[in-house]
Amino acid sequence: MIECKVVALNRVIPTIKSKYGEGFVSDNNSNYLSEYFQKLKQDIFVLIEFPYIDKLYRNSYYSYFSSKSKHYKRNTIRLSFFSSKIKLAHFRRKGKFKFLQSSFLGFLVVRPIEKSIGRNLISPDALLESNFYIRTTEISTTVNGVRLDIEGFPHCSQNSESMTCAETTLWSLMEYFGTKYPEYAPTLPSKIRILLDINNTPQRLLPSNGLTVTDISFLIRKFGFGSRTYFKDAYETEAEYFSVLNCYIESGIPLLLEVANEKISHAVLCIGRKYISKKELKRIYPVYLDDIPIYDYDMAKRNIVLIDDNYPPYQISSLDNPTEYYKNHPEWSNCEIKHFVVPLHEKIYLVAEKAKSCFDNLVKSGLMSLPENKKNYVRFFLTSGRNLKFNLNSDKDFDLTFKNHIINLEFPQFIWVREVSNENLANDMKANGIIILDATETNSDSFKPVIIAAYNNKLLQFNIEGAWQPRIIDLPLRPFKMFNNNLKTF
Amino acid sequence: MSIKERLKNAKPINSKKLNKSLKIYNENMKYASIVIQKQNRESEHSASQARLTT
Repeated sequence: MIECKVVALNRVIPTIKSKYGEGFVSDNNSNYLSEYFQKLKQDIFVLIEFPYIDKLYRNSYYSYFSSKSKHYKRNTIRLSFFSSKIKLAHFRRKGKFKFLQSSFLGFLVVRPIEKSIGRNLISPDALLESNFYIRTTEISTTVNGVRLDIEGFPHCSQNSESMTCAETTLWSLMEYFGTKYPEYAPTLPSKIRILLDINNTPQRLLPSNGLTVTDISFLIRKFGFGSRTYFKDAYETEAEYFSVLNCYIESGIPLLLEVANEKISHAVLCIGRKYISKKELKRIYPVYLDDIPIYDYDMAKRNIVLIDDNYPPYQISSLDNPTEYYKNHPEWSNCEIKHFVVPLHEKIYLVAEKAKSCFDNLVKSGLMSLPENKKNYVRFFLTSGRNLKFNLNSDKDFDLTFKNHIINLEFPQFIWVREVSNENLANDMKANGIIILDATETNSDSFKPVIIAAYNNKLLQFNIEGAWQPRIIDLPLRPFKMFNNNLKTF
Repeated sequence: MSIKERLKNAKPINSKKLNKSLKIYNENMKYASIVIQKQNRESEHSASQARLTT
């Protein structure tokens, strides 16, 4: 029989200890759960369900833990979090289902192993502190017979035996994509091993010895992406490397980061960023395009939001010290983001750095210059053509004739967008120029990726009615809101 | 008049100016592509050495 009990957050660990025994929470591992709970609002109520069959733990149990001499339980406990005081009777009253949904903050599976934090999805609204911009997915779950939806980013701690950071991070990434987009599917550790076997991996895969960045890139490709790997030392400056990374974050693509020092090599997911302060925007070091200073948003210092399987979800760190929340762990100091892997949609052929060059070289070509006596702020991101049209159409400030023109243009599935702004407008997150590039056009000769460019009171278009006939017309643009559909605010 | 109509009726860009811009753009993009290819090769090579375990 499944047992259910509602307790306050501070009673969860004692209740698990007394009711379900040492297998789940012992004196050795209760700090994992208590550390997780410390990040949450303390007035939360929790529904404890046992036994719970968790697909992710069962996958590791049958392929690994059950074959060990030591006895491991095969069932887990599921904790469901609510912002209001709930009663078990609410789950049998249809009139209370809306109340349960509005109070629901997510779930966490407690595994009967030392690293007890299993699969979990917690809304950032459950956190004591959030104030960040991230990617999320919505997952439906049935709690004590009631179907409830929750939005957040999937997380799980590594078990260090069958799943190290590399497999856990890949699972988390695919759980996100598989539950958000129909073209992808969630994965399990056994599927990862099958795919690596196909790749003729020479070493045994259990217990896990981790994965190389190349393995991860290969697996991401096998999951249906066009993966791209970036290496810090391949760039002349750290600022240039981080500007590419920031550009992908602004594009709303979760990135797999390798954070490493001489002793440590660890995988985490970067799912968004903190607010970029006006002070940091003012501190951007300009890049000069033929004596015209350009202040690129991607150069502004910001903190990032991470999914780290050694810590509770939504950790905050800086780009130059990505493990700063590993306090009291000196061996984790001086880590840096050595590599990052971008799970690009397989139809995105134009990569960020080349798309940025297209814009820079369009300005340098002299065909359409930027205002010389102003601080030109630029922002760069990837989005779908449909998403940009939807966003522009919802902006009442956007020039109506230009809005009609853009919405009627034939766009590829994905586009790179450069928003052009100035110092005053940038403070209000507004722009008065836009350049749209075809993200499916990898041949950058003769301005081929440029679909349209409108800035500095001019509009440039190369293709008119299917023929290459470049034209420039006057087009003063009213300031409009910068695009903000790639990351969700919490 | 719509922007599409205005573009259709606009004078072509001076061919001398267009060719000069094309030359500058193509040369700069050629150089950028070489740098990006080099960065990509180095990234691919180093990625095989980095094993993520912790």
